[in-house]
Amino acid sequence: MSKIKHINGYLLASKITLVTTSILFGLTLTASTIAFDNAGTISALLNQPTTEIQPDPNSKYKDLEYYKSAFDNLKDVKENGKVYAETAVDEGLTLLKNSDSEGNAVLPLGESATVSLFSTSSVNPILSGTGSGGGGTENVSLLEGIEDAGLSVNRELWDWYEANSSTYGRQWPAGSSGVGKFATIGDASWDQLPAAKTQQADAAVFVLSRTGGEGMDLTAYEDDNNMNVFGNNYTVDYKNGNYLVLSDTERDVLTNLCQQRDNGVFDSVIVIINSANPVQCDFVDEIGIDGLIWAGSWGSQGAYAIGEVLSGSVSPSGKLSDTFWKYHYLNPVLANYGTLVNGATSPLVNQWRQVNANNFQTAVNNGTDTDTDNIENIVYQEGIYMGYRYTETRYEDKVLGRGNAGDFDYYQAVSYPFGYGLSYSTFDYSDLDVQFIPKVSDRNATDDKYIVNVTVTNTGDVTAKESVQLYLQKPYIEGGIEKASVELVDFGKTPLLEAGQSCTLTMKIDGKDLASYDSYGAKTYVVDSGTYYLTVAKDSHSAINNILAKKGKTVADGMTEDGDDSLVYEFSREEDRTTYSNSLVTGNQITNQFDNADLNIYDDANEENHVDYISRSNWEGTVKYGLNPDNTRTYAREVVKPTQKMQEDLNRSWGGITSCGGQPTLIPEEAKTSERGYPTFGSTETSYTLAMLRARVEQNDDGDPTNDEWIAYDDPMWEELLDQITWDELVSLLSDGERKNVGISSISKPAVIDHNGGNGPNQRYNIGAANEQGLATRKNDTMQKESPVVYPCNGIVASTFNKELAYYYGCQWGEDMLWAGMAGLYGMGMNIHRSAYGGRNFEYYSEDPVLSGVIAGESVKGMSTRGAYVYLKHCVLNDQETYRCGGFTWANEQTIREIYLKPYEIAISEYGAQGVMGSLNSIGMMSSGTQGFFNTVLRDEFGMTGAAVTDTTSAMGGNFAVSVFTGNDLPDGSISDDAFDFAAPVSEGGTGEYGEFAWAMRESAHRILYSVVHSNAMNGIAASDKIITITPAWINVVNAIKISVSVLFGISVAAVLCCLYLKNQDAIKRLIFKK
Amino acid sequence: MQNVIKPIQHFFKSRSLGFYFTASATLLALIELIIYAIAFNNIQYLQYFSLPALLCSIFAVILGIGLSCTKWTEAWAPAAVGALELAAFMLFIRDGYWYFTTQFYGGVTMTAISTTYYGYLLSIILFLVILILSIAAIFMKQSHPLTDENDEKGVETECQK
Repeated sequence: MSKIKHINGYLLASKITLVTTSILFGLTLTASTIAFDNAGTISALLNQPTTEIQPDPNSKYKDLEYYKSAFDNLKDVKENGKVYAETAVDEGLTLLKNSDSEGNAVLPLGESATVSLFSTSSVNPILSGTGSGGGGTENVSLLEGIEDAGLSVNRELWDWYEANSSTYGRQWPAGSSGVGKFATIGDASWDQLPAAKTQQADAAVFVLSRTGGEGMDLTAYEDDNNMNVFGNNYTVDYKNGNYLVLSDTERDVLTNLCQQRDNGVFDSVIVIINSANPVQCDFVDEIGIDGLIWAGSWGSQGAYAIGEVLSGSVSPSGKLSDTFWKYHYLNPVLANYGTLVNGATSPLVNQWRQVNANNFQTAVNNGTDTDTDNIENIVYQEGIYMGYRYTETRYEDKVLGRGNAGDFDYYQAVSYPFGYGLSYSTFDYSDLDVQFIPKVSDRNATDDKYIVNVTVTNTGDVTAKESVQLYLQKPYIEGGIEKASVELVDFGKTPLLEAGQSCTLTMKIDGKDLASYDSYGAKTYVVDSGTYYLTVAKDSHSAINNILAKKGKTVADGMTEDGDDSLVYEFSREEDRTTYSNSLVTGNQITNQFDNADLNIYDDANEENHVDYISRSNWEGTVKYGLNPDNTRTYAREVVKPTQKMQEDLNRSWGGITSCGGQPTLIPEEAKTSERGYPTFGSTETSYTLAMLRARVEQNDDGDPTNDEWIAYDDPMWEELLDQITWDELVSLLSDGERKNVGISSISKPAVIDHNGGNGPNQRYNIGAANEQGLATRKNDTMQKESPVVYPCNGIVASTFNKELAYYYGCQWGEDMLWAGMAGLYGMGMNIHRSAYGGRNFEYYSEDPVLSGVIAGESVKGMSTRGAYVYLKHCVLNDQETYRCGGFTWANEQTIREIYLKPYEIAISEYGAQGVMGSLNSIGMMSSGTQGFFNTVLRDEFGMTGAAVTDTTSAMGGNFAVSVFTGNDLPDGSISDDAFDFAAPVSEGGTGEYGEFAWAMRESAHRILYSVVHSNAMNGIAASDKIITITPAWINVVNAIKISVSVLFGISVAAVLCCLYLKNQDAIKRLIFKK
Repeated sequence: MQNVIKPIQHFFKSRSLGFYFTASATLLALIELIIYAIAFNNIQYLQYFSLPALLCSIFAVILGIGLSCTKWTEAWAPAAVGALELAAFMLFIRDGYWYFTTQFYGGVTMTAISTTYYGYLLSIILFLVILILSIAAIFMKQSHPLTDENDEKGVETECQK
C-alpha cells in the first residue's frame, strides 16, 4: 500500500513535470523558430557581432580609410553638427512680416532689447517631429538662444511658463496608431498668466507651435470641438477640429498682447511660428501682429539663430519652401487629402485603417464604397496644380481673363507665396543675361542649356544674403498638356553682401526643363512650340507678375502689383516630340508607366470612376473645393467605386492584404525558368572579395593610392563575384534587411548598418559597435553613447535656398554616419508637402519638386564624400499618413512624374543618389514594390544603381520575397528564409522552376553590394582581408536552452512511463502472460 | 432500445469529472478547428494559415474521442488532446505572428484588440481553454470504480479486471 502511495506520488510529480516541460518545449521550439527568423534584428538589438574580419597580415595596402573624417574626435563632430544645425536655421528662418500699423519695421530689436516670451511653447518648443525621423531632446532653450544674442528676457514670465508648462502644455499622441487620440494645443489664457505678463518690454514674442509625426496627419475636421470617433467622444481645443488655426486661447493671448502694445507696454508683438507645417495665417492682419517669423521645427540649435535674428546680428535670408495660405480651405488639394472628408464619421487619424479584401469584394458586388467615406482612395484630383502652381496659375488666368478663372482672389487664398521672405536689407536685381548653349556646341553636353546671369545689389544698409529664384513659364495650349504659369527651375544665393555691394549669380536650366509630360497623347516628354518665359524673382508671385508685365499687363488689369519686365527673358521653341522621349541618362525610352494609377486610363477608363482633373481650361468647373462666404467649406471628394478589375489587382499585388500594406503572394509567370536557366551559386572558380570590387586601386610602395577608379556596375568582375555567393547566403542577404544588410563569407562582405533618419541621422554613435564599425567605436571615443544633434526640419533646410550649405550639411550627416558606423540612411524624406496637414512634413522639404530634389541632392552628394548612401523615401505618392498603409493613391502620369517623382529623379540622375525606400500605400491598386516602377522608371530612366528597401515590413506582413522580382531588394524587417524556397534551384532542393526569379534575386544582391562597396562600411577592410560570418552568442544561448528543455522533456516522459509501469506492472505482466 | 440506451447510460454514469473535462476539450477542439478552417480560408488571411496546425487539431479530436471510448486508453485521451492542441497552438503562433506585429504595430490598445480579426481572437481563446481543460483532465480520473449496482448489470468492473 505504501509502495503504491509512493508510486502515485511520483506519478503525480512526473505528470506535473511533463506538462510543464511539454509547454516549455513547445514554447521554446516556437520562440526559437521566430527568433532565428529575425536573427539579424535581434543581434543588432543585443549589439552582438555577426561577422569577423580576419586581416591579411601581408597586405601591402596601408591606407584603408577610403572615406575619411575631417575630425579627430566626436566632440568636434558634434560641434560641427551644431554649427550646421544652427546655420540652417540662420539661413532658413523666414521673416514674413516686419511692419507695425504705420508701416515701420519692428525688427531687428537690437542687442540691448528686452523681450517677454509668451506661450508654453516658448519653454517647450518643437525641435523636430515624432516617429522614425524624430530627434532627441538635447536642445538649447529659447532663453539661452535669445540671451546669448545679448537680449534680455522677462525672467519672471519665463519661470512661470517653465513651472506651468506641464499644466498648460500641448499633447501629441506620439508613437501611437493614432486611433481615437488627438493632439491638443493647450496653453494658458491671458487671465491665467501672472502679473509679469504686462512687464514693460520692447517686444512681446509669442511662440506658436504645431507638431506632427509619423502615422499622424494633422487634423482638419469640420465639426464642433467634440469629435465622435468609433463611438467615443473626444474634445479638442482647436476650432472645427482644425489643428492649423489659432485656438481660442492663443487668439485671446495675442489679442491682449496687441492691446498691451497699444497701451504702450510693448513696442511690438512678434509671432514665431515653430512648426514644420504652415499654420493658417488669417490671424496676422486680423489681430494686428507686427512681426511674423517662420522658424519651422528648429532643431537643437535653432534658438541661437532666433536670438541672432531678433537682435539683428544676422539678417534673415530664408525664403518660404511652401505656400503659406491665408485659408487652408482654399487649397483644392484638401478635397482629397487625409482627414478632410465630406460627411466623414470620424477625423480618421489612423495610418493603419484596413481595407478588408472580403469587404472589397462585397463592395464590388454591391457597387458601394469599400470603407467609410471612401477615405482609402486618395485621388490627386488637383493634378499638377498644387501649392503655388495652383495659386499663381489661376491668378494669371484671372488677370488674362481666360480659363473660366472665376472670382479668384489671390490674397484671400494666400498670405505669403512660395519663395517669399523679407530681409533687414533690400536687394535689386538687374542686368539679366541669358545665354543659350545648344547641345551641339559642347561635345560633352547631353542637353541644351540656358545660362542665366543676374546682378544682385544690396540696396539697403545691412549686410545680408539674398536668395534668387529662377522661374519658367511654358506655353499653355488650351486642351493640351496642363502647365503651371510658373515653375521654379533653379535658384541661387548670394554670399554676404555689404550695403551697396553687388554680385552676379549664375543659374541654369536644361533643355529638358522645357518639356512637359503628355500623359494621353505622345505618352512621353514633349516640348510644345510657342513662347517661353524665364524670369528671376523674389518669390513665385513676383515671378508671375514679372511675366505678366512682359505681356503688357499692369495693376489696371487686375494684377496685385506691377511686375518688372526687365527681369524676364522671352524666347521661342519649336515643337519637339523626340529629344526627351528617351532618358538622357540611360538612353532608354520614356513612356507611360503609371497607367494603372490613372482612373481615366485604368480599367479601360471605366466611366464610373472618371476623374475631372483640375484644368486651367476650366477652373470653375474643375476646382471642387472652396470657402463659402460664411467661412464654411464647400467641397466634393472624388469617390472611387470598387470594380472587379480592382479586386483582381488587389489580389495580384497584395495577395488581398491591404490592411497595412503587404506583398504579393502570387508569383508571376515571367519568373519561371527561361532558356538561360539558373545563375551559378557557390562558384570556386574565382575568389574575389567584395573589397576587390571597390576600385581599381593602384598604390605606390608606401601604400598611398595613386589611382582609385571605381569598378563599373556592369563590369564582368561583378558576375564572377556574384557567382561565388551561395544560395543560402543570397537568401540570407535578401531576407534580413531591417536597418542593415548581413555579412557574406564567400565574398568577404561585411555586415552593414542602414538606419533611420528622414530628417538626419538620429542613432547613437555606437550603433556600429557590435561589428566594430564606425570611428566612434574604433577610436573608443568617450562620447560614443551620445547621438547626433537634432537637426531642424527639412523644410527649413530647403528654405535656405542655399545649395552650398545643403552640400556641407550633407557632409555633416555623412560625418555622423561615418562615426556611428552607419553606411545607409533611411532618408532623406522626399515626399512632397501636398498639403500643410501632412504628419511627416517635417521630414520632407517642400511643395516644390525642384527645390526638394536639388537641396536633397546636394546633401546626398555631401554625404557620399563620407561614404554614406541614402534610401530616399517614401517612393512614391506617400504624401499623407492617413491610410499610409494600403491606401489607394490615384494620379495621372504627368502629375506623378512632374511633381512627385521629380525630386527622386533630380537626386538620382543629377546627384547620384543610390537607393530608395518604397512606400506602404498602393500606386493605384499595386503596392509600390510590385508596381514595377523601381525598375522601369527609377533604374531604366533615372539610372539608379543602388537598392530599394521596403517601408517597414512589420507593418506590412505578407510575402516580401515575391516583390524582389519587380525591383524590391531588401525588406525593412526580417522574413523567414523559407519565403524563397519556391525559387530554389534543384541543387538546393528546390523545384528549379523559377530561374528568372533567382536571376532577379541575384540582381538585387548586385545592387546592394554596389552600394555597400562604395560606402564607409568598407573602411578598414583590405582587398585581401577575409570576412567570415559568425554565430552570435545569443543564438548559442537559445540553442543551449532548446537542448536543456528537450532533455528535461525527455526525462519527464521517461519518468511518467516508469511510474505508469511501476503502478501497473502486475496488470502488464498479466497481459503479457496471457499473450 | 433498452439494449442501446442502457450501455450508453452506463457509460456516462461510470465516467467521472476528468472524462467530462476531456470531452469538453475535445468538443472545443472540434469547434476550434472548424473556426480556424473557415476563418483562414480566404485570401486575406491564408498566408497566416498553418495546415500542420489544422492537422494537429484534427488528430486531437480523433484521439480525444477514440481514446476516451475504452477504459484501457481513456487515461491517455487528455494527454493526447493536450499535446496535439499545444502543438497546434504553437504552429498557429509560428505561422501567424506576423499578423500580430501588424495588428499591434501601433501598440497594444483596446482599439487594436477590438479590431483584431475574429479568427485570431477566437482561436487563441479556444486554444487556451482547450489546454487548460485537457491539462486539468490529465490529473483527474476519467472514470470511477463500478458499484455493486453496476456489477449487477453485468458490466465489467475494474475489480473484475
